[in-house]
Amino acid sequence: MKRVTIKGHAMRSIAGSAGILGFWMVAPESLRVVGQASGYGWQALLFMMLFLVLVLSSVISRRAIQNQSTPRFLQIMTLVGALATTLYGTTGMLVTAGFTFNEVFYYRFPNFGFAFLVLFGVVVVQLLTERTRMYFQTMSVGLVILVILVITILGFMQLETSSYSELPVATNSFMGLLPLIYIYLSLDENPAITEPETEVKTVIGVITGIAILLSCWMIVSFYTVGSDRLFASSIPYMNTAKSVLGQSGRLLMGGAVIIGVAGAVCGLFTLSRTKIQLIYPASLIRYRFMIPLILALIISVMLMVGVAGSQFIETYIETSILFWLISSAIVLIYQSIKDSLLFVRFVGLTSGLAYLTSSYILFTRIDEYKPGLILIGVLGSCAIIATLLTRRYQTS
Amino acid sequence: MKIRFLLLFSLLLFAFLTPVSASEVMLMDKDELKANLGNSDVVILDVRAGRDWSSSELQIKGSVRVNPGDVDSWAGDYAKDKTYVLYCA
Repeated sequence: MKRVTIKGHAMRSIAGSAGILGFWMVAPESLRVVGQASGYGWQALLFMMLFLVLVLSSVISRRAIQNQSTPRFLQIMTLVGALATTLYGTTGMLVTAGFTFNEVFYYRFPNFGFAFLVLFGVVVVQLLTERTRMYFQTMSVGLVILVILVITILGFMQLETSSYSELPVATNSFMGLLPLIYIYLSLDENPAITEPETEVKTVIGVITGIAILLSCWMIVSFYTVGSDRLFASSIPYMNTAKSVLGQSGRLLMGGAVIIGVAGAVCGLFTLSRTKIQLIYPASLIRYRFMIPLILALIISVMLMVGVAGSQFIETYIETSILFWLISSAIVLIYQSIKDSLLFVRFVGLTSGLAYLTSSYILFTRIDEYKPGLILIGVLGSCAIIATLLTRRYQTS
Repeated sequence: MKIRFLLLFSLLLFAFLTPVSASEVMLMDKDELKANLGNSDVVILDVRAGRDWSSSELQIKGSVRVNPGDVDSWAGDYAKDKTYVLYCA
């Protein structure tokens, strides 16, 4: 299979890698999951580290696998998962950005209008040069990390030393912690991981660094907000920022959410685009500029018909993420089995199976089981149809 | 290629036209609602769902959150002689 190389200095630097690897880890979607999990106390930190080890094992295996050829259907399955996540995730996140701007900064500005403004901005960035896109993403991720870091440090300063030992072990089922795996989404088959120009130690350093920062954020959230409010809130990151810095924290976090949404949407667009180009190299030149436009058009339609306001939106987002994760895990397992190195086989297979099991358990816990199953069926059918229709593009 | 664009355009047009059906419902502007806040004959129902609900920090004072997807379960709890204001965004 041909590789698509993302050129530019940003890619090779730590900051550039953070932009590409970390866009989802610090996106409002992930901050919500991290915030809600914070209510579990020590268990949340344990799971955060457990998933970190799992993901790093998966990253190391992917880099070590000699022959990365994968059956076309599996490639298309991961593409379909990524596209569905891009479409549903973006639709949801844009509305979050719209509400945040409307409620935190300027209430006269319609939230819907702001959502479109962010989408328009991302499309413009997507149509500019690759280097601009990378800088935009690096800057946005960097700014969000900075806000989280500032609030975390100030939060720690407010905590009394004696209270550290009080972080309890929650009595709730540990199942509620499994969604933490979502924050590592996009790391599999991320160009920064599959691209040999980025050193593996940079990749590991960036992922670990962000995971540690989020773990510290969890401790601050737990102490300043409290379990009950964290479990109940759909915007726990706002509660933490408000508890630590009051109105200033709200403004800071509001800005971070909007920037984080722009960075995450841009990152998802880039990832979808890269995956399409990996599978259909013919599209590299002819449709390169069409991909973000088509994605934006579909998302606009979804916004206008009220998908974000649907009671099933969370189900659709979670199902898309899980479809992507499950597809990625299957690809990893397949490639690991085929590899000749025993170490790669063992690590890849173990992390792939652990990934698959967590994803499956999460899927069975989705609130609205029926629409989730229907979406899985639709995505699976799309993958089959796309595989059949595009056989002539076979490259590997 | 033209057919594809026509299809996309039709989709977009459909999306724009969808809210037209909502024009049959009586509307109350924000000043009128503000004047009625605290009026026991006016019940404000927050019918936001999905991200419209979960992304928001604020709620109209005195409003009651109800699930718009499950009208049958709560519609009977409300008297018919009152004015109901439903807001969804």
